[in-house]
Amino acid sequence: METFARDLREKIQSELTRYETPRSAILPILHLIQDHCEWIQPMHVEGLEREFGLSRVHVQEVATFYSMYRLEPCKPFRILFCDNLVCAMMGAEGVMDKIRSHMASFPTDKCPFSLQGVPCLGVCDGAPAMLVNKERHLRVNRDNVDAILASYK
Amino acid sequence: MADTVTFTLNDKNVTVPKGWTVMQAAKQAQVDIPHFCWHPGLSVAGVCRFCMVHVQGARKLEIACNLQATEGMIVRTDTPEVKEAHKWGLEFHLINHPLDCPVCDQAGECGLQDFYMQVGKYKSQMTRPKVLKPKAVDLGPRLILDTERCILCSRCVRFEEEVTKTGALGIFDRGDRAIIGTYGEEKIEHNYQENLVDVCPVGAFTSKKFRFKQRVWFLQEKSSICPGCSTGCKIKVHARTDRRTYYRVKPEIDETVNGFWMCDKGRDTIAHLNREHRLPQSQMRIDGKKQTVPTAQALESLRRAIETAGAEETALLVSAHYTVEEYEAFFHYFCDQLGVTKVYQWRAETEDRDSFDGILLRGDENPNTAGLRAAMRRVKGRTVPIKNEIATCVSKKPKVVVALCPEVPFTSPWFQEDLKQLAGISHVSLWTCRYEATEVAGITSWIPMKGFAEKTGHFLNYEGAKRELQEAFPSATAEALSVVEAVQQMAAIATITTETATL
Ligand code: SF4
Ligand code: SF4
Ligand code: FES
Ligand code: FES
Repeated sequence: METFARDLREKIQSELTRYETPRSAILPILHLIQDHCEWIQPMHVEGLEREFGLSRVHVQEVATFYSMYRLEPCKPFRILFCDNLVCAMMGAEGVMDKIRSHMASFPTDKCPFSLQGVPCLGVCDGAPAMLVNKERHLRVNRDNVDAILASYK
Repeated sequence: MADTVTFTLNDKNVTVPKGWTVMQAAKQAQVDIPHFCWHPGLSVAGVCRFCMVHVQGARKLEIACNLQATEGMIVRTDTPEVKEAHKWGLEFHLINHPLDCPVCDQAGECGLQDFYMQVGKYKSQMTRPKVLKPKAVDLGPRLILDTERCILCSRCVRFEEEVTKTGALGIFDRGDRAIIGTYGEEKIEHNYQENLVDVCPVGAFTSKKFRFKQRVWFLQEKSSICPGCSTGCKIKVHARTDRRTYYRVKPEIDETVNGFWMCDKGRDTIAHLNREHRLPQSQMRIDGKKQTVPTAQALESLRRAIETAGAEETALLVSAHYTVEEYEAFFHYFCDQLGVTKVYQWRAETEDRDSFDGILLRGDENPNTAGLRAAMRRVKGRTVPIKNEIATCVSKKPKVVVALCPEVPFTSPWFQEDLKQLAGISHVSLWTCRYEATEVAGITSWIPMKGFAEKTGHFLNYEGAKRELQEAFPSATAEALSVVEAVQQMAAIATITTETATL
């Protein structure tokens, strides 16, 4: 049985030919898997070895090195909130508190969000900034954040 | 001229082949450059940053392991900057190191200890608690890994990738949580596990067999050759002579045969040398009862048996575990002097003699097949095909058999079964290092032999290369003889008895 769906297989295959060595393709391949499957499971790592000839040791080294790879089941909506200098000056900490209380309003285990502070998102002119999954939100503040989060269901 | 470069290393002129690194040159010139991640048998990683040297004209210190020597370069290993770099290098390596030297097998041969004594000796500035990591992880039948002691030099990872090509080890996670390990619960099962213990510069990888057995500073080392197969790896045997106990085997560098490595099977070839496995003294079966006798008596009775039966009724059964020198003495005495012509090889009935694992290990489990073959060619006047000839020997119905038994028990599991075939012969003299499995009906005498680590001489390996057993430990049993010594004794007794007879 093949580990990956057909379209994902094809994307992985094309990544593998893009670099001098297949090992170099591990980073983008892990991103592909994460985008398709939410999180990177052991069966994916093993599938890459079995079906694409990548060493599972090499794959696991990369997957555990970078904190942006998800190696555990995750919430449907993952908030990455910038807590670097400019956003901090523009009140990031207060907004994050607000997000925390928004999250606390759900019954335990029912909260669809996770929150993580991250370094500069490169949009300081729109500080405070956050990502929800891959969507960008600028000028997030204590007044608008509840509405933004409410749109994620 | 164009193929070499000459540069200055601590005021000394050093000339090396073009392309060599400063580290390689320093090794050759016997200038010590403290280092962790560089290993002569592995690729350059440049990760420990400890091998810093000062190069005149360079903006900052350079790492010697990855710095090509160039013509006229001026390198120093002893400037204040280098010393400062050592201090900081060690400080970082020791931040999370558990410092459990008192219970660490590596103590006494540890890179961290050595370099701390050599170039460290400062007070630590760390006040924060250490990061704790898994200790005593079972990584394979012969391996234990202490991830706290690891300094992440990646030698073990490179060994797995470059030498065994199994790639089982990786560095997972990051920063101060980074950890060496295998994928999931996987174990390392190959035949080269203990090389990981050797390449690890600290006590992170330790050997299950040697763990907590002995402090390394009590061990004496002697150069020898592994008797485990026909490759003949150069080794160092580690033993305590005061206890007459053998503890471990390590490879010795030999570029032509084994490089820096040896296999795990070879590491087990010392077990039989310890006293509890040895035939302690000569024994004879007298009136059906086994008795301890002086070696002279056993040899004399053998000599008489040959005299009575005649050389043509005597056969020699010879395994390929002895040295070229021993065969020479043995055949010289029995064949040239006494006139014995029945000479038979003794080895496994079925063997995959020409197999090779692609690294070191060969299917021929005898260290000196080539040497025995050459010696037999001399006495027989023709080349004999390599095979077990015990059945032929028995079929010729000799009255006396002198048997040079295979020394290493675990490479000759067929030994006892074969011995049973000799039951009907009236005088069988076993010359043997081992004791176990030699108690078989029909054997007349047992003469204790020295083990490979207890004699000098040489083997010829699979390609006929000379493999020197350079140094000898005193035998674990005082009575043991080499074949050369046993034959000398026999010849001496013979002279005495003939002299007394003529008196
Ligand atoms: S286990 Fe030993 S060889 Fe491997 S990285 Fe750690 S210190 Fe180096
Ligand atoms: S390869 Fe052969 S000679 Fe070398 S260590 Fe192993 S058994 Fe001994
Ligand atoms: S500091 Fe927040 S986006 Fe740059
Ligand atoms: S030995 Fe040169 S960096 Fe480690």
